[in-house]
Formats: sequence, structure tokens, C-alpha cells
Amino acid sequence: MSKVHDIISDPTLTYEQQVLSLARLAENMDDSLARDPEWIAALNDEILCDLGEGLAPYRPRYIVPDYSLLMEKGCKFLNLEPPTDIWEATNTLLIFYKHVPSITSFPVYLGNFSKLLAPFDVNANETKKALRLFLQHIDSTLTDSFVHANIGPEDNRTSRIILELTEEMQLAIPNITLLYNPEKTSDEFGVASVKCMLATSKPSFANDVMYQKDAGSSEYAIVSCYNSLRVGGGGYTLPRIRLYNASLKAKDANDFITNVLPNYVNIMLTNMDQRIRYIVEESSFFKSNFLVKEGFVKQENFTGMFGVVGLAECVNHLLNIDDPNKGYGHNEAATELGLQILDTMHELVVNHKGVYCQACDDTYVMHAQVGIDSDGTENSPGVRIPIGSEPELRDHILLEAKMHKHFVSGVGDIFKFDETWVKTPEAVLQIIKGALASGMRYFSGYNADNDVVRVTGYLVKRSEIEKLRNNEASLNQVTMFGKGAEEKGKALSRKIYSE
Amino acid sequence: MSSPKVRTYDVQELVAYIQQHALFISGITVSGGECMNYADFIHDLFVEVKKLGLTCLIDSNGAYDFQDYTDLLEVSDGVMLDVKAADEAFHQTLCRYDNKVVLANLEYLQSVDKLVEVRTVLLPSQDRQNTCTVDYVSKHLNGDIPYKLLRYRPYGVRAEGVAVFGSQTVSEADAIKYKKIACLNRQGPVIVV
Repeated sequence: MSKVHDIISDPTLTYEQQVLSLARLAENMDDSLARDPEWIAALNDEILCDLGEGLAPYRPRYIVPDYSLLMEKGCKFLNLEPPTDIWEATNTLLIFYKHVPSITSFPVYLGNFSKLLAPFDVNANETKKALRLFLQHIDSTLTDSFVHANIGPEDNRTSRIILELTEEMQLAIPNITLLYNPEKTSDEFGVASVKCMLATSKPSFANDVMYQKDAGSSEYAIVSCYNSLRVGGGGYTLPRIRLYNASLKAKDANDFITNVLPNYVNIMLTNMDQRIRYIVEESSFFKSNFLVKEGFVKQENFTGMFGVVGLAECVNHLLNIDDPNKGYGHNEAATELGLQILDTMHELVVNHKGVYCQACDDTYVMHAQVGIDSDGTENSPGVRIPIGSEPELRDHILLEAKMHKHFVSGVGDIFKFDETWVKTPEAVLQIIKGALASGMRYFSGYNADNDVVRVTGYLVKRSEIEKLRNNEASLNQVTMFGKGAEEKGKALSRKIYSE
Repeated sequence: MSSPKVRTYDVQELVAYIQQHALFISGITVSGGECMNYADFIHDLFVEVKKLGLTCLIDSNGAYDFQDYTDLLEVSDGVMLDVKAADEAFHQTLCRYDNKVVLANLEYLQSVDKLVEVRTVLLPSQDRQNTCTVDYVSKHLNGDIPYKLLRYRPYGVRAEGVAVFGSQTVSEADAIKYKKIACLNRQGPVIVV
């Protein structure tokens, strides 16, 4: 059977999913992207991973348009005038979204709804009607859970309407993040967001204090799973190092830190340079795309994301710990080694002069990646404690918070609550506040009984996973990742925290 | 102290333990058994815990007269009070002490603005007593102080209690009946748990 035939005969793929799969197949027949033999060897050893970016990247992986410009000036290329009411605003955005590329071909950032839409929120009933249609349209046409919107940090009526509709409509798309800042976000808005999160697994809470400090005077946004990137820019590429697989090449912890890790980090950084040059210099995106020409994104606001998975298993292997319940997350030596590995990696990454990332001081940024189904259970997402060996909630949070410092391009974990917490959203908010104050960059939660559930970093519906199992297609192209992550990575089996 | 779950702490140790959790909680509640058996300890604990910016609540059966503990009340954010029965004789049978002090506490704690919640356990097959207690408390409870009606469940009840009340629970329908009685008497919240 040919690969083309496999795709066109697969009953679990929608038409659009088949087109994208065929395009990906074609990209990977190309050989114009420079690739070093060391990179190819590391890919084959499954130590490094290109996360599906293929052999001919023709757009940045994640694009984060400055939608405020669209609201202010409209868009010449798309013949859009600046909107004047809630109907025009939502219609303008929906048209624009369909022209924002990404690795998945769906926009990974939809803007900050609280800020973009509030100026048009004149009448609450009218706004609610418009936003209901807006959200429904997004869910059924931007059919990918990496589509992500932000709200906050300040409270306003538009944000509350979005929370109400999110809870009521129970849709997996879009992912939503509240930019939480204890100085700016009221407890009432925080509690309302927690209630919504327990009912439908979103919004997640981003540490606005930390992320805004990293971004300086620029604006940042949370996109895709939980990647923090510059508004008016984005991320070119996100290759990953699987730390557990890398640790198998080391004689001991010292050998890992002084030889093995620097070797693979450098191979990955070189590949990032090559890939970014290709995107900027070879592909037409930065030369002719309307997003660039009209200033919705600027090349200098992009950077490369250095992805990391499997810290827990790496540390446990290097310390000869067989029982994960006694390893990373449960003992001091593992914590120390974990921090040492991250510090070493961070030094290597920030001392490498990145290409075409002027606004990030010519450096690439670290990202604790959420894992993919083929990682199985041997490389936990980013710096997370493995599923099945979670310590008590407070210890879980405090341990991981220590590991979040260097991940300016995103890191986080998911906490699964049982239904008793639904009665005390204030207590959940207090835990989130504590987590963020402890240095945790991103907090996701969900109720164990929801249909919309968070798998490693994105939302899927359990009922849609069932469709795939029954050999039916699912409109959301991420459902298949969710199915794989559940089956191979036990991703839905995170410990349930009860009171 | 034979249970492996029981540990003795001095104030300093307990404050250190609370401090480790301080970011994740808004306050502490001391309960029991009857925590007022250790009123001096609680006083010293609250003095330290208040310094951490946390609230401090007392969960009590009201057997001690709070008028004698004004220093403790001063460092406390309030009391969650159990009123088990309004009928004096029934209370005596139930608890082996009379309820005069309990009912006096109900008044006194409100007068000094230190009552944060009152609870009554609804007992199976005790309709007259349940009605009497709920009626009394709801008539003597002001403003927005929540009144919680807890349905009796046999779990965790000592053998001697189960011997009296059996393994039955109070049905939700019955609980709602008592809630209606309370709501006729007061505007404030009445919550069935």
C-alpha cells in the first residue's frame, strides 16, 4: 500500500485532514533544507525530534498576530474595514483567522478576547448572541485544539460573557488562558474562572507577573498548548530533546552534564539555526505574506523554541532509581540533579547566538513541551512528575515550580480535581494563587468527570475519542493525538486530588 | 495517642507546618474532638498564625462559656458553633452535659461579632427534636450568618452512637422539610449538607 493510498482510504480522517496529511507527505519528499548528519542520527536515535515540522518548513510554526492592529486599521489584503460593532468585530476576526498559517494550518492564537471585544460590548444580550455564534463558528471551522484565546488579566463584562458561554456550550475549541495577575485580576473574576475550569477544563491560569517580566515592555500571549510568545511575532520552530533517551548515552550523571547534554543541545541549536534561516530566507512567508506586509507580525518578534521533555525519567535513570515513586518529585537528590540539568541547558541555550530573533536578545527560548503520543511513558511532558507517581498536591506544585524558572516560552502542569472542589472554588483559587506565587508559570485544572478533558496540554472530548475508536471521523484533528496520548501515555490518568 | 495518625506538636512545630502550606490556604480551623479542651494552646497558636496573614477559626460544641475566653476570641476570626439540641433534657441525654452554656454562647458570640456559622446535625427518627432545634436556632440567629443542617450519617460515628441512632441516614426530603422551617424564621442562608 502506498502512503497516499493509506491517507485517502482512512475512514477516520475528514476531507480537510486528508488534504493536510497529503501536503505533509509532499513536504517530506523534499531535500532543500540543510540537515547535518549528527541531527539525522539523533532523530533516528529518537533523542531529538522535529515535532512534525518536516523537511520543507514554509511558515513559522506559531504565528501570533497583533489583532489590535486589525481592530484599529482593518486589513487591506482581506478588504476588511475597521469594525464598528460586535457583529463586525467577530466577523472580521473570523475572516482573518482563516488566513493565519501555522504548523497545523490553523491559527494558534485568536487574540485577547477581553481586550479585543470589550470596546464593542454595548448591549449584554447582543454581545452574548454574537459571541455564541462566534464561538460556535470557531469550534466547527478552526478544528484543532491548539487554537488558543486569552482573557484578562482585568475583569470586564465581555470576559464574564465568554466564561458563561464557555461553560454552557462545552466545546473543546478554543483553548482559553486567563492571564492571571493578583494585582490586576479580582478574586471574583478568579473564582468565576475556576468555576468555569471545573465545569469545562478551561481557562488555564498563566502567571502574568512572570511572563510580563520576561517580555519587558513587549506584549506576550499564551498560544497553542501554553507557549508564551511575543504578540506581533511568534515562534519559528520547536524541536525537542528527549532527555531520557539522551541519558541512555551517558556513563553517569557527570558524563551527562559535561558531555552528552551539551553535544545534543548544540546539535539541536544548529538545526534550529538552519531551519529558521530556511523559513526566513527561502520560504516566501516573510517576503510576501500580508501578515508581514501589513505589520500584523514583524520578523524580529519571532524566536526559536527549544523544546524539552522527559526530565523526570532522565534524572531517575541517572540516579539509578527504578521506582518512580521514590524518584523525581520524591527526593532531594533528584530535585538537585533536575535543577542542575536545567541550569546547564539554559546556559547553553542563552549563550548561543540565535538567528533572526532580535527582539529576544538574539537568543532562543526554552519550552517544556507537553509530549506526543509516541513518547509513550518513557518521557514525561517537560519537567512534570510522571503520571502515577504524583506526590501530595502541595508538594507536587512546589517541586515543579522550582523547575519552571528557565522556561520563558512556556511550561505547566495539569491538576485533576474531584467533584468536592466544585463547592469550594475559592479554595481552588487560593491553591492556584499559591502555585503562581511559588514560581509556577502555568496551572491547568479539570474535573475528573468532564467530557471536555485536558490531555497533556490541549483539550479533547472523551466522546470524540470514542468516535475514533468506532472507526468514525472526528472534526477536531487533535482528537487522534488525545486518543494516542491516552492509550500510550496514560495521559488521562493523572492523580485525582480530593479534599 | 495510640493511633499512628495522631502526633503531638508544640506551637512552634505546628506553626512551621502551617507555614509550609500558607501560600495555598486562606486560613486554619481548629476542630476536635473538642478543641476548646486546649484553649491555651489554641490561643498561642492563633497569635503566631495571625502573623502569617491567615484567618483562624474555632470549631466548637459550645460546652465552654466563651465569655471566659475573651483573649482567645480577640485573636480569633470567629467560632463555628454546633447546637446539637435546643431541648434541655434531650441535650443532657445526648451529650451528658446541659445546653445552657451552648445556647448562651449562641447569643454571646453574636453580640461580640464572633459567630461565623452554626450547625445542627439532623438525627434519624427524632422529628420532634430536630424540629425544636432548627426552630430555636433559626429564631436566634441574626443576619447573614449561615446555618448548616447536616444530615446524620453513620460513618465515623462511635459504636455507642450507632447503638442509639442506628445505621440509617436522614433523607434529603426530610432535610429540606427542616430547611423550610428554618427559612420561615430567618432571611439568612440555610444550607443542607
